[in-house]
Amino acid sequence: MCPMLSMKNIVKSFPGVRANNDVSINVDRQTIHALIGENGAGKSTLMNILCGLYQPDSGEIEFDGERVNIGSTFDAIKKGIGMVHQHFMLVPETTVLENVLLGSDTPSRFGLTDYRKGRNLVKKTMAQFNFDIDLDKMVYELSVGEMQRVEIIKALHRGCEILILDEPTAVLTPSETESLFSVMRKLVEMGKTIIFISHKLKEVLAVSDYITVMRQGRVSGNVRTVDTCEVELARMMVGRDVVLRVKREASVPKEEILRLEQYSADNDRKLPAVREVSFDVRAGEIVGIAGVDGNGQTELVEAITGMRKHTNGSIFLNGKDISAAGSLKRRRMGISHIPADRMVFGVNEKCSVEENLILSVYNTKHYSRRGVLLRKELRRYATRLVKKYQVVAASVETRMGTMSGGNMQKIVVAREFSTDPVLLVAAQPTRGVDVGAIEFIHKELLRMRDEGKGILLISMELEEILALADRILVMYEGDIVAELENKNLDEAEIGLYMTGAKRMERMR
Amino acid sequence: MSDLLNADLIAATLRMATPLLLTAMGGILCQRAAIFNIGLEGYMLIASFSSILFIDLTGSSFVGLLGGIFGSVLLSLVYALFVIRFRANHILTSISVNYIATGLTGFLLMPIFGVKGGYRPANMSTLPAIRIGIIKEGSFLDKAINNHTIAVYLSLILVVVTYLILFKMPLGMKIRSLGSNENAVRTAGIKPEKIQLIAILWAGLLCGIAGAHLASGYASEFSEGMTQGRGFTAFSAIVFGGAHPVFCAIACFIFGFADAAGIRLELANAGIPTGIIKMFPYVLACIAVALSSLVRMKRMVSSKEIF
Amino acid sequence: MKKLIKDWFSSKFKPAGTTVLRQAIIVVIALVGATILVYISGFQWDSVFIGMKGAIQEDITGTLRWFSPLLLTGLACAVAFRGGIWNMGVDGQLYMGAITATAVALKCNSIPAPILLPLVILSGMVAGAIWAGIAGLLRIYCGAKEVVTTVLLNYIAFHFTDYMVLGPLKGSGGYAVAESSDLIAENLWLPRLIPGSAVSIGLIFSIVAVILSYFILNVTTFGYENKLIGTNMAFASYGGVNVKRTFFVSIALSGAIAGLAGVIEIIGIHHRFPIRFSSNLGFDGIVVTILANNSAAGVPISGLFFAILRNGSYNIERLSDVPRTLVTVVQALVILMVGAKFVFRNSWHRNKDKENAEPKRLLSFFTRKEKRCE
Repeated sequence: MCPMLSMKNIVKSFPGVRANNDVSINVDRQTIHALIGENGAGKSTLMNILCGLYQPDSGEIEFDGERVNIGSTFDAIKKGIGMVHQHFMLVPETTVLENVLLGSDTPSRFGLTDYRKGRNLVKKTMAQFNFDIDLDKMVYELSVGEMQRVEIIKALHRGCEILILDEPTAVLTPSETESLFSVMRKLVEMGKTIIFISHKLKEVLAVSDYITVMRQGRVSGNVRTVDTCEVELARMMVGRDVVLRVKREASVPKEEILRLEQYSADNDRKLPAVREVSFDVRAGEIVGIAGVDGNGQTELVEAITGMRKHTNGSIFLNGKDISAAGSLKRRRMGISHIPADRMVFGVNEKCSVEENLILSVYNTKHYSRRGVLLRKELRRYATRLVKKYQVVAASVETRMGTMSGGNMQKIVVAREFSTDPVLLVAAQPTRGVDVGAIEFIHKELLRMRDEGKGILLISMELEEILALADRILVMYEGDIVAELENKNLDEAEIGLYMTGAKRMERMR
Repeated sequence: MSDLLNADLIAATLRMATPLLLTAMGGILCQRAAIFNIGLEGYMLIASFSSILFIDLTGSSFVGLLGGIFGSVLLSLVYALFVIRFRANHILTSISVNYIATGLTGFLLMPIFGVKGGYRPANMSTLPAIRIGIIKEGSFLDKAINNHTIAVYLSLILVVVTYLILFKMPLGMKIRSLGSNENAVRTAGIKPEKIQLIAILWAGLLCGIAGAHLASGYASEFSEGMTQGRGFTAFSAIVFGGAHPVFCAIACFIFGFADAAGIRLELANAGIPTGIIKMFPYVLACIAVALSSLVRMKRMVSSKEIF
Repeated sequence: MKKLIKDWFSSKFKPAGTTVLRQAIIVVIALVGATILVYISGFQWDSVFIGMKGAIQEDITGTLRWFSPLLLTGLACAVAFRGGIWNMGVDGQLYMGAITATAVALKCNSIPAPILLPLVILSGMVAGAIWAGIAGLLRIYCGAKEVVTTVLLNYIAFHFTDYMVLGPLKGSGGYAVAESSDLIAENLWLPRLIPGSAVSIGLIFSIVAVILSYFILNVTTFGYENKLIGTNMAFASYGGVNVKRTFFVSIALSGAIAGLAGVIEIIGIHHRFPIRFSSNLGFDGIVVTILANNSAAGVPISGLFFAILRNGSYNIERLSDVPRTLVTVVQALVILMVGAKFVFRNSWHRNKDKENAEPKRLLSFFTRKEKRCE
């Protein structure tokens, strides 16, 4: 039987990297087909080609055996391809209805948009697939799960037959993930075909029928889900048995480094994001904060590092109240910060490696005098760091923008670790980073811990937290809802805390 | 007597606001489509020049109007080419467009007309005054809003048209979405480039009318640099009004009033020096930009330091 | 020692080499474009080059006369643009500096010259700094984009100086007719650098300013912070840089340099304030720095080029009626091409795919897009 969709020998290069190197994939009708691989494997590129955002350098796409040309997103939509991207393609300042109607065939009457007709059509679509969202709500008022549903409705309303979901569970709680899976199964029952991109092996095994594994731009395996297991998939993903845990010895935490008392902060929309949070971090331990993205972790990190003003409570570093200190002062007092948004905050693409590295030291005693930079000292410092952290760069004058994600993160790590900090705040330290660099960064974090630093680790990857943290806090809707020692933990239980289903009795 | 003054003042306000209104409405669609276009000054200037050119050739102010539009649209196409196709920096290309207009119009005065600094065609024909028949002659309304050139009435109509386009038409939905999230538009099967081109051409069209009005409905000649920063004042109106046609129009009327009142004060020998009077519209525009930006900034909040 | 120089040379000039080549190509294309325009307008086709030749050979002093202010306005713009600040207001800041210098020179004639002269210069620079600072404050505290406010402030400055020169500072007799202020005292005039020419020692001041600025921008902590806010303000803020202070100091410094340009025009060239004397020196400064890639080292070369062009255009207008606004066209073409990042690579291929379309960084709630695609 002819596969519904066949992508043959797709080649796609970008400056400096071949994202898809002779990739072929066959997808059968009415199946859930998973596309997995680690960061940088080429999965999103391949799907972006399918939905018309990119043009392949060479290769063909066939539908039911017939060659098709997808030259634009318009073509893709017409051919019945819909995609829910990892980063939402919604317009926050308008209503759900307007977002769904946006497209080439918005209904109109005498040149003016016919909202009534549009509303009826969308309502019909929603009824057909059993969705229900308030069409007049503004998108910025929606929860992340609701936004994703709007994206799915968009695709269905445009008449997609193939629905591509790119890392959909990254922003969902475990229970929202379950409901997404049941939606997926239902859609397949109703005749749709789903391609599901993920790097989370457990989920892929739970919901898919077929799995295609990609590694470094090539297909490294094609299996039926029932025939495979996690270990085999992992091996196909990275070519060796993935060491999912680094060696972590029990820690001996000493004096208190960081203490938060009833610390509160608002988000950008002036709504409370961190609600009277209290916890501490001691020297020689890693405290991990688990939780789904969007529960206040970002704001918490910003408030601790001084990038965001807190609204209530106090923060103590080594016993001293630093609540009034700004971000520069906090840095000087020994707080280092690996930011979650590397490209915006962590790295300056237009500057050189050296200029990125010296950010944390350029106006300290050793490297500048009375406002004048000591260039030779700074050059020496930068060169030393590049060597120590094994950064792949032609020279310290190379522009950052040309480097890979993992390399850039190494620069961030190098910079932040080298100021002899007392507290390290690491937010998503391995997001978008290749496995080799991940291992390196994890080892570095543990080394820092063993040297007596206090580390606050925030990550959306529960596995990372379980691998590194000595103590785990779970954050939900701005509150700390659980505090656990990382010993023989049950992931499912943590999941319950993450969804707010369960809540620990707090002593404080 | 004072009654007359007021009606005339309103008429003058309308006349002075016309180029601002047109330019602002043109710029609004660009701004909403994520095109930072401050080359509107250049579009207007070149339109003034080409309208005078066409009047010189044909003696008809109407052809002059079309000619003005032609020149402005041509320049806007250059802008579109560089900004859309070559992904050039919007601000730099806008600056360049303004320079092109200043340079070309100043330069071409010599080879085409054989003069320097300015030109008034011998067969100068100004845009005719249009009389709305139903308004009673001699009444307040008549003196205030009747007998203006077509450009003035067009500018008012175009405020409504711009509003309709932006909020009531599919094109407007696409433009507004583009300014918020370009990728949302791209993945909806729409080419952002096409939408941006339309927005830029729209600006070219409207600024063309503005420039023609300036040269043949207001000044009756072309002189170097005659736009006098009106393009930037119009942009200030766009900022002040948050790229919403109605609020921007209000700003344009306020600026137009400041201009008209200033001239009145000058003529009345009120004792305020010319220079100070002439400063006023720009000071007003500056304050308008500052206040509206402040309001927007406060609403957005970000406890972070970046501005 | 020799090796040190060689190392410094190669580290500085090799990467700069490709930039210089690219800018040279842009200049050639712009000149060719202007020549084409000249030709189809019926003028002698090589007018542009004749003008430039004359500016170098016969009238080098005229060129140097313009080189001095262009150095400063170019520098003013470079300092601002490098910091990501769109200071379009150099013209206005120049005028405010000039009018303040004139006012101080004329009104404070009881102060002895050795004190008055530095005071005049300083007051002009401070005036320029304040004028730019207004736009800076509006940006910092209101979020008002300086690309708009500085232009509006320009027009305010133009009309303000008009008022001053026709009012409080009005000259007497012939100067009133010529719409200018009176002459400032002769002991405040800058001496000639090249006797018999219009070139004053203001040129030396300008060159010193360039050297100082190079030092400030490349060797001080402030210079580093200036570059940071110009390339990625979020990164700077995250690193603890006081972005508000850096922004303000940068734009004020830019205004001060522009003010200095105005001062030197007064005390070195005109010795009075003729109405609207500047003829777009500020706008020219913008092109100078754009061609120089916002580097203090490149400003002299770029400034010299545009000085040659400007002087050449005056000369050619006198000789053959070719309007000097031709220079504006050349400038427009230069900016156009720099803005389009015209490089050796063919930009058509690059833009066929949408992947280089970087989504605008919005203050929205879910933009964490990695620039590199997966």
